[in-house]
Amino acid sequence: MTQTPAPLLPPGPPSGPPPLRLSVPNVLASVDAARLAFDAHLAGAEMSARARYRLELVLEEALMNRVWHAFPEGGVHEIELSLALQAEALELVVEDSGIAFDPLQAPPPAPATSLAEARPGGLGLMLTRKAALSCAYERRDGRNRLTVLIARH
Amino acid sequence: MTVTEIEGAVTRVQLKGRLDAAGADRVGMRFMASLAGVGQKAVIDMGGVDFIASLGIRMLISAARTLATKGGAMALYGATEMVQGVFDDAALDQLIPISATEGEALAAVQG
Repeated sequence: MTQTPAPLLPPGPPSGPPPLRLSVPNVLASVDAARLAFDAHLAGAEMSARARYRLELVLEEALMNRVWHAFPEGGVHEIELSLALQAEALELVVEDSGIAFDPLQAPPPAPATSLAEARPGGLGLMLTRKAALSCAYERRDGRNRLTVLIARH
Repeated sequence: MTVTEIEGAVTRVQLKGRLDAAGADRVGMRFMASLAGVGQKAVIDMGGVDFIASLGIRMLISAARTLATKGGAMALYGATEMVQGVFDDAALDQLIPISATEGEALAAVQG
């Protein structure tokens, strides 16, 4: 009896856990809650310490941006997060149904050379851009969607 | 957070843990309170801080500004590699002296 060789499979998406999806309220404490969920999800994943730091930074900046700007009328609202592992990158998506607000449009902070001149605006966005491979914003069906790719290594 | 008076009436503040949004919120008031003196010089040991992002940086800038307006000075030192990387990305050394060692930080505030 001869064994038929197993069919050659085309290269598929990298094996790994399916994307993590979670929903958090628009409050400061959600940053830690999300971070811990991300840590658990990525516990066995091969990625550099720098990548882990960048992910935490981008998560904090994106989530706090939503907490401050997406719901000017106040109240408790949900922010949806998803984290997917790709071959070379992590993909973080932050989505909410708050007001149309593109976090990527903040002007870059003017380089301040003295304490008196330093303005707080735009620093979070600048750090996010430096930590990310790419950032994209989309407004669709009444929802804000921010997608950030971070290098795994 | 630990506050010590060291040579030449300089305050040394050792920050610890995460200076993320929750951390900066938690430690912010004590940090500012430790730096409330007129003409106060302070060196901030960053060695125990394992994470910082824009909110933590804003806290440091706010403290440095407060000290400067009252005739004092502040310097940071001993940051770990990734925290230093965020300092570099933010060009923070344009606003606050940053060095590797406490000796250099002392020289920066006393000079």
